[in-house]
Amino acid sequence: MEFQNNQVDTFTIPKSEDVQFEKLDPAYKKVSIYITTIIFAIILMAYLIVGIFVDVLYQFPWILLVVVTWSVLTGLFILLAVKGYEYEGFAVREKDILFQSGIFFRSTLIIPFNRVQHCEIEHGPIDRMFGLAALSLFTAGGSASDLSIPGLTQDKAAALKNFITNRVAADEEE
Amino acid sequence: MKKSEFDFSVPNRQSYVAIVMILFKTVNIVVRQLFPVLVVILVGGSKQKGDYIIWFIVAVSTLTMVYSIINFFRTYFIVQNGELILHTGIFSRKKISIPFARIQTINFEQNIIHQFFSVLRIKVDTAGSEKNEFEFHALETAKAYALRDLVLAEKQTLEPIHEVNITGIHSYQPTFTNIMSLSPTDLLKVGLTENHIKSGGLIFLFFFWIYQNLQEVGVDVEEYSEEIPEWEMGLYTIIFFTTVLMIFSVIISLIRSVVKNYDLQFLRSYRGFKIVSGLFTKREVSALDHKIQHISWSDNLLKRWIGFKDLSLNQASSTEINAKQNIRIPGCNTLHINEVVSTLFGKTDFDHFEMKGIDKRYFIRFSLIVGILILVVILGAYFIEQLDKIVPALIVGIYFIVTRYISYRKKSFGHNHELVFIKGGVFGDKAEVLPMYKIQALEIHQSPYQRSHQLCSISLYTASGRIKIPYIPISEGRNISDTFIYKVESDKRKWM
Repeated sequence: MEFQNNQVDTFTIPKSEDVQFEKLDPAYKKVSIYITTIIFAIILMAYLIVGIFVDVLYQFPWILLVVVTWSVLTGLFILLAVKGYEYEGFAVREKDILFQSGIFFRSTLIIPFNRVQHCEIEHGPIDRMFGLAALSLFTAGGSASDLSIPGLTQDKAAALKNFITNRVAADEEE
Repeated sequence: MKKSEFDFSVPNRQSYVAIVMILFKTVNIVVRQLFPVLVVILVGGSKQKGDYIIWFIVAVSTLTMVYSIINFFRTYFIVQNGELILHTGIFSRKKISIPFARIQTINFEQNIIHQFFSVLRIKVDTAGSEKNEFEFHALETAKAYALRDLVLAEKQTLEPIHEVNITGIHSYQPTFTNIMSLSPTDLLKVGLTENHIKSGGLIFLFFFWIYQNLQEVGVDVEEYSEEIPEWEMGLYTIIFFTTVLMIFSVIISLIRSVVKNYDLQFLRSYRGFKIVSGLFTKREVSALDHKIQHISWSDNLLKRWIGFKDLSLNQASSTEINAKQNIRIPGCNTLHINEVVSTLFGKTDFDHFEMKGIDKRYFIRFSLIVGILILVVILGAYFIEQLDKIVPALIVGIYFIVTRYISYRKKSFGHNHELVFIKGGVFGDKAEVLPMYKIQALEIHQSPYQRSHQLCSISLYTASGRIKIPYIPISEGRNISDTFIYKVESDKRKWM
């Protein structure tokens, strides 16, 4: 094959801006709430267990302060988890996949299929309760460039994985 | 080749020897963790404290061990449809599939215990991220070889050998041509222009380390230091110590540099570079063209003065994920760098690149934050009446702001149809060159502040690290992202 390197008209390059992002499954909101709640419950439990040995933790001004802070933080993080859902979304194009996330610090990650090393489907216990799964894509660009799309129905995750695997294989053959 | 007597289409587990290996690993870790504690006990430190730590470590490692052993029984692999599929996990089951085409290398390792049981440690490298590599503590030797043969054979049929070298500048000659070699005077110059502040830091760390260790084994360092006569901490003492530290730093960095770069030869071979250097141990490093992802060169104030630059060839790291395989070649001048650039990427004139600067808010935003922090410190110092803390805080703050300003002024980026070129640096100059098709993934970031000013930052992920373009207009960011991604997707060359 002769190497070619033709000039490209910059107007014909597909724009990532025009892409319509697809929302994650609504049930994923619940998953986020559950996970946040569990983490905060563990934190509270840890405090209470330590409190059995350290009396001062159960005494009046502290226990009130802690409970109030804990409630506010839990509420805040649950709010963030719910709100974060609005900003998360993915889009699959013919040759790449885009994922955007972040409420305050927004980011859009683009991974071309011909750079995907491998992909896998993960489903944790809470995901399974809601019939959800996460699809992870790995590139050679280090862990920061790996992509994990949470909140997909298991069918969709499997279909996406299939699609991507086929794309990767097709690219290998060329 | 005889037909494999192993059937990989049914689930295969590791050899039971793996359990021994897990035990061995745990014991090893425990011993290593306990070592300082044991030393403390032997030297005669507090015994009860030691007991606690021992029980804690034993408990944690027993748990880890039990977990690993259960995991052993829950882990197996299958070969199916040209993919290596690994099932693993105790609580949440995980299925990892690696297409053969993605497998970079299969490495074997054998220590004494492995040899005794005739098993191998097998590591399948995918050039992906660390946790997704496939590693077995022990697999029967014959089985491991059969697996490797199978993978390699199928891999061969999957991908015809691609011609990677496209520059065509180099004729096909297996002999080495010399690009640069460091003469003794150049070696001395390289050593003298090293980053001495870093050496100073190393010296400091070394003494700190000794101090810590002495304390850990129960030697009361404070007690000894009281025996040293009280120093009059005057101006002269400070000047004296600073001078001594500086001289030591220069000497140390000179020695380090000479030991490392003695008789350095920078050679060009067919399809790669080779660097030979070293005084006591001669190191020989090879960098193949197709493994080099991006290159960069930099200098500092001293080096710029004599026209030296450090050239870095940044390779894709497939075996050591954490230690990126960057090869640093000190003492290059512009001509050497031009030669390397044209060998790798074809004749390139960076002066013709349309370079764009970054937005001034890169500096303004940072200065604002640092300014507020300094203000807080100063106010705090004022209220607790520790006025002597104000001057250092001011100096540190001004240093950060000034360096940020220089960095803002120097940072610029540009690209042609093939290469991305990024300039920067603070005291020295730094330049990075990345062929677009070596990009693995791209990310556009926007902080709330950037969003309100229509700005963004771009991260280019490569197999040899991340390259960032900060604070550019969002329209520009989208433009170059689309261009880069287009290039990656339409370019048929292998990135490695």
